[in-house]
Amino acid sequence: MNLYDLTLHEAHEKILEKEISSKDLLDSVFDRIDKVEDKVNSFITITKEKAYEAANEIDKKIAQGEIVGSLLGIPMAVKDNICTKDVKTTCGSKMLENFIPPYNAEACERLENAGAIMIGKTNMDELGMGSSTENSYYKITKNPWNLDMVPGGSSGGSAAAVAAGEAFYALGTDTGGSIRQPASFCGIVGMKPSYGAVSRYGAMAYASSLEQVGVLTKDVYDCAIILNYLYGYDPKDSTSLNIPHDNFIEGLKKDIKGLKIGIPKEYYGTGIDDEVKDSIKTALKAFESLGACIEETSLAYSEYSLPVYYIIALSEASSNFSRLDGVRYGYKADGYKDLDDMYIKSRSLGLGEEVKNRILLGTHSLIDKNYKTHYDKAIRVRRLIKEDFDKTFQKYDLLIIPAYPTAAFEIGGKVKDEGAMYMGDLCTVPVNVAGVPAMTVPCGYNSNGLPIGMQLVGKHMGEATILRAGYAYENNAGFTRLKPKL
Amino acid sequence: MRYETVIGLEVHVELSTESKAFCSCKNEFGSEVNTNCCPVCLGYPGALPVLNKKVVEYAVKAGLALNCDISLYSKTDRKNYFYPDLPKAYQISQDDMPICKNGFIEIEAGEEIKKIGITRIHIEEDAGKLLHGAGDEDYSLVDFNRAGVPLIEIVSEPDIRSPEEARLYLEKLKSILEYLEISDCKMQEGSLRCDANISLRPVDEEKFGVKSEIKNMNSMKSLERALEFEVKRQTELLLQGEEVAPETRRWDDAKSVTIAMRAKDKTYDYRNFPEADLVPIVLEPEWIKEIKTNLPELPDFKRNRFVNQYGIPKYDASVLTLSKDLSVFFERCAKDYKNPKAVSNWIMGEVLRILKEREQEISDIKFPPEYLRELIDLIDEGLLSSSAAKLVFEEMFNTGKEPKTLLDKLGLKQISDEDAIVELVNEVLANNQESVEAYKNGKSNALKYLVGQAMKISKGKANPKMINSMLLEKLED
Amino acid sequence: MKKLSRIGLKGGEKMDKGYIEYICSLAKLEYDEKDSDRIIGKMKAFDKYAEKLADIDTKDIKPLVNINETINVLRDDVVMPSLERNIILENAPEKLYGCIKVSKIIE
Repeated sequence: MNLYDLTLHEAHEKILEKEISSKDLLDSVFDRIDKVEDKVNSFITITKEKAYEAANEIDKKIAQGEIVGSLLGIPMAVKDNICTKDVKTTCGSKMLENFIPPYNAEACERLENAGAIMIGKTNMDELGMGSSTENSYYKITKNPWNLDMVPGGSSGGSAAAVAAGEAFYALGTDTGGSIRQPASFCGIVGMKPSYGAVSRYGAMAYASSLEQVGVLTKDVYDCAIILNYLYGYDPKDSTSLNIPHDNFIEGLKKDIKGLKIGIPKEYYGTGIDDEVKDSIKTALKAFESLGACIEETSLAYSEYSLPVYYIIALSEASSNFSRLDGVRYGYKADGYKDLDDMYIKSRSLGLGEEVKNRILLGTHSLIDKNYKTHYDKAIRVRRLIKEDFDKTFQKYDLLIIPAYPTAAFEIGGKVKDEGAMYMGDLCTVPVNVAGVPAMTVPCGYNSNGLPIGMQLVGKHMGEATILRAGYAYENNAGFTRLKPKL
Repeated sequence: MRYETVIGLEVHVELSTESKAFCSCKNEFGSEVNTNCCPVCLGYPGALPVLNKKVVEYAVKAGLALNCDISLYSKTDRKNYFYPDLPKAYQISQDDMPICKNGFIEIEAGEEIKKIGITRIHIEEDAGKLLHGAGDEDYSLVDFNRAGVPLIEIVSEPDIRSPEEARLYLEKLKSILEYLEISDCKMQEGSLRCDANISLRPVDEEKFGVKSEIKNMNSMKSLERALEFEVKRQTELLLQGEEVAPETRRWDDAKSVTIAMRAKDKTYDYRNFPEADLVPIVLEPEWIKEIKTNLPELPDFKRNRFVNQYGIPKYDASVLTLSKDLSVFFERCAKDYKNPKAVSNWIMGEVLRILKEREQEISDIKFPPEYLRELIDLIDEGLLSSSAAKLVFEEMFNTGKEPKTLLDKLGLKQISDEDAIVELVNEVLANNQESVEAYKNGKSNALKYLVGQAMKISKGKANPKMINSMLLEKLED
Repeated sequence: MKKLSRIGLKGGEKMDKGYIEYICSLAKLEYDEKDSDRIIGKMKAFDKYAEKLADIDTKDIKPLVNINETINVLRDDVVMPSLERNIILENAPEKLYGCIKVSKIIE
């Protein structure tokens, strides 16, 4: 078996046993990158030299028996909107083509302190805006399962890198599905934490009140390991929660007898592919056989999540992206005639079409005369949506919904069915609006061999339940996970 | 047609915290450019603000001292606009829920005490500093040291009715803030900045006239002068039947005029919305009470106490309490001293004069307040003439040395020894027979001449009172 | 509940090219007349979101910005080291005399 095919926990075992070194893992991963990266295009930047330097240090520690932590020496990829000290961070945009942050995002800092080795920055939809990674200024990432298909977005590069064996796991961000949908398209696990659980410091903000830094992994166990390092209060992020969190490894392997799973009917309407529905039905049978109780339920405010999401997300983004003005860092146009011209030219040339469109919508949303009917209204309805979820979680431990209505779609194809597009948003955004955690777990393949994912949704800070259910499913569902044939 | 002036003042105060409002960079005036900056105050990707506890405390202190209601729940908002000195292209401020509301300041306009309302006080962050290229250098430079420095903005009701009242308001406000020790309130350094909104309306008209916003008034004096100019300018326009344009005008101190800046873009949409990277501020009433109990003695209270405790006139007490440092200096001299009025006179006279001349502050005074007492004692004991005392004072100010020492050093000790005086008087009488005769013949001026002669011989050191009375005594014999 | 008609278009204001130009100026993005119809279309579609929300009575519902309703996250007034100036200037597109350089601003 190739080393790059191991999971994080398998690699960790081998390191513990001193069977392999960190350098061995890097060799395998960079070898793999040499073979497939030209086809997949997961990375914007590859940090080979730095990685080997880090591995060198770590291998010395390992040789001396200093194996502290489960991440030690294992290669990870980082989405390029997460700042990495002294390594170019572009957010997939021309605007930040040459931006080299002098600081590390907190998420990276924690993982690197635990011995993780970053091997590169992954491609993404520019500034997080998109669901296919086709909106990157730099390149189009291909789905390792079928190179004509999108890997999903905006964390498409991260998902593809993990699926293709180019990294053992990857960091991503999720504002409206940007981790969960690509994870589904690429047949891997993708977790968006509860709002406030993981520090946002150093992750370029898109929608401050909706997003979280999360992780894409090969399996649920890996996810649990990494969450243990990521979670916890960060004084640099005023929105990060100052409460203790569960140890996600403890209790991971407990059974799920009596687990109450709700199936909200609003998420299974027309627009959801039959093959997706079937995969999930099969998965639900597996859950039942493990002792869980499945019941249909309803999240009545679901249809309002989309308007609430779009108004909040675009409003906040239009303000968050204003700092990209060519003054202190980033792209500055040549040949401007005055200050105003400098701003307009730099931003218009530095930012892509999709980003500019959304900035205009967000600006329109926040102008004085629209404030009451748009943003102010949205944040009030948001409370109703959250309460809807809270009420539902009083009855159920978990909700299961599709990760996306379809498997990956064609590059340049754009989802043609309006119903499917609507359902696509519906599957992912309510979770961000309510601030609850959700994890994609692969549950099948369609007739074209493309992965299908289901989404396990928990109550706020209910990650332990999600992980336990996911782990139980992964190890007992009789569902065989495949690997892409690259 | 007679017009009434209506003025409202917006004052921005830089708080003297150690670190900035939303990051831990040093809050210091005069540092080398761009040396107190970090990802947060530079608006780098992913950087997030964290509110400085002291900023909240200082804002509440200001609110309590200004008789405001303190909001138990307040939040921050973003004010969005593009400018090179604004790193995030939005300012974190407070829009609809400021931390303090509905306060007032009392000013003495002539004999009456007038209340000027304070609409609100809110917390916000300062922008960086722009330096403009001179002449045909077509660039501007940005220093971000000041970006993120905490400010409170204090907005008055349009209750002010004259440029003088405006100055009195600002003086009182500055004085109160200094007493609280939440800002060093230096207008010349920009830690206290004032903009004015001024309009005129016919007397007895309730509706407000069109207002101009006046900026760049960098001292109390220029505030008053700029507003006086504006009253004149607007009156002339209105009397000619013209309209006042709603614009922003800049005070040019050298030319003594206000000049229109860009047309006031009243409709600029700042798209205020809640700052989602920060969380609301919820205050405990007990904590506010504690702060209130621990507030220092404020200017008005101290002024009244000085009048009662030291028996000095209200006017003197007002001058002495305008600045906290000054009031402390006075009190250290006057406390348990037999002659507080003399202390007051010296401080209001020589001390303030010399500080103004040298452009220095009370804190620059080298001698301790006790030395001033000593100086006054020396005069009372007749060892120092008042003119000599002025010289000793100046030397004391320059060197910080004790008056007794300086007296001897400068050889200014006044001769008040009775024998010495007698000797001197006898000498003068002996050598100035004509004057003696003249005096005896009714020319009273001759006495003055004789005193002058005695002072001349003694090189100014003789105690003139004693000379005078002894000469009289001898002449009357 | 009084239904708000023509969300976003009160008082006879029209969503026309002039409006798009105005929004572009606020957002400091280039206004291209050719694009205005397309953008108007997007804005109208976006306003439909607000229209949908208008159906819901939120008179007694308080706004929810931070989902956890966290309050009072404050930091002690302590100074920590700042960035070295040369590092700040490394990322600056234009710099001079230790400052960030921009077009001359006339006030």
